Amino acid sequence: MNDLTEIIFIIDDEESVRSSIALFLEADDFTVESYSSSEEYLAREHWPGAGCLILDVNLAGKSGLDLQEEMVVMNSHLPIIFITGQGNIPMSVTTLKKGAINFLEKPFKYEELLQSISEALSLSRKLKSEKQETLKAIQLIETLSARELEILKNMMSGMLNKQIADKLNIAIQTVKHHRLSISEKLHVKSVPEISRIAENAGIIPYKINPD
Amino acid sequence: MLFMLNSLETILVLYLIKLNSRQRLVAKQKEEIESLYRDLVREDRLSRMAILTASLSHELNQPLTAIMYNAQAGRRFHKSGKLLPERADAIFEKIIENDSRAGELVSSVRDLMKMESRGKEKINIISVIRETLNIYHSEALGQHCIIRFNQQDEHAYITGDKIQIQQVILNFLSNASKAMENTLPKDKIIEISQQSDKEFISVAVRDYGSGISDTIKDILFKPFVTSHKRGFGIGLAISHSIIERHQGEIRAENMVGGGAEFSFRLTRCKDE
Repeated sequence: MNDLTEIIFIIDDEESVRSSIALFLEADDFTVESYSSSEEYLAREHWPGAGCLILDVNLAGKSGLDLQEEMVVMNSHLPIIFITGQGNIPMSVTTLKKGAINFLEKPFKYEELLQSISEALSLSRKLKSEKQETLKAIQLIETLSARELEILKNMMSGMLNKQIADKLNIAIQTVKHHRLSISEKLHVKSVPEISRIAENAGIIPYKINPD
Repeated sequence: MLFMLNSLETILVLYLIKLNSRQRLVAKQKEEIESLYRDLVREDRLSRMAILTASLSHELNQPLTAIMYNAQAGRRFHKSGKLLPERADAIFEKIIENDSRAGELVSSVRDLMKMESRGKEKINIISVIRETLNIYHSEALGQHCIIRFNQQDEHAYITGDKIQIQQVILNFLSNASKAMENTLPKDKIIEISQQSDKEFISVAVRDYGSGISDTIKDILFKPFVTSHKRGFGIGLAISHSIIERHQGEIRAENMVGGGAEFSFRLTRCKDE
């Protein structure tokens, strides 16, 4: 499977439903994997590529709703399309609030399913690329020295070179030198670009001390 | 005609007429009681089915979904010229299979919803249990109960009213899942087992719930006895009378390791 492969995971304990939807999607050239329980799906190795879940609400063992909770906690980039034979409105509202793409009642129309899949996959691609940017940013930030990181955090909070030099008790020239090194290591020139990478990597700027 | 008889004969004839009308009255009362009983059994069955309506529609939606998506898959493969004969065959097979599954479900539901029962006939207890489990499957899933079925004997026949026996099994199943409302999810298991010897066939439903409390233990099969917040306590009384009218025995006991087991035993049909 190459980098562009996208997988649709079907999780339903009803074999006839699972296999018929899988076959239907395969006819449309989707790559599909089927699982009969949440546990069975979770035992699969993590899928880093784009994709989505078609998930039955009422599963024996860990229910579809439980699995959604876990996916939210894991910050998964795989959106969920719920399917159910016995849904109710409060349940559908809860799942949608937690980010589900749709809540389809069996026997749902195939147009609805395909529409939801296309929404889910484009969201997944977006989430995946955001995740990749984060990963790339973290890798770049990790090349900085401790001192450089400290200066970066001060820069992000909008401090001028002079202020940073005073705060850290070093020469302005040294601050300028570190800034040059940061921008070389992160492969960008401007302060906004540097800040964006730092933010993507989850770096929190120092709060300016009011004193 | 009376004027031709003497007084003694007249008295005798009058007595006979009275006796006859009295017998008819007794017979009529008996018939009325019988009809009330039938109404009661039917009402219990119908209300039981009414509760299951939502989960039955769920159960029916599974094969309907499967039929739809198999047919759609076939159409798509055909359009793109990729419908190989083996694949077409497999798709048709699946459609037929799911259609008969839907059909069987509809027909067993229809039987249970009938106003009149079918009367006694020779029935295979395993297929009666299986049909009942099909009807109850989604309801159990909705309650997060897992049902395990241990059968012993594929050729176990009894003489009885099929839908009334199903009614008893449904009652046992719904009592079991109600008893486990507060049981931990991983322990929500209902075990249904069938055993038979030369003379008898028994069916037992075991749960891992709260068990039968001492206060109602001895009056469990009497009407209006219940430990459920909802419910009138009529189910077990009706099950009791159904099994009694089949010359069988019904039992309930707490189990070692928690939970209760409800069972009935009927005479095995000899000419298998």
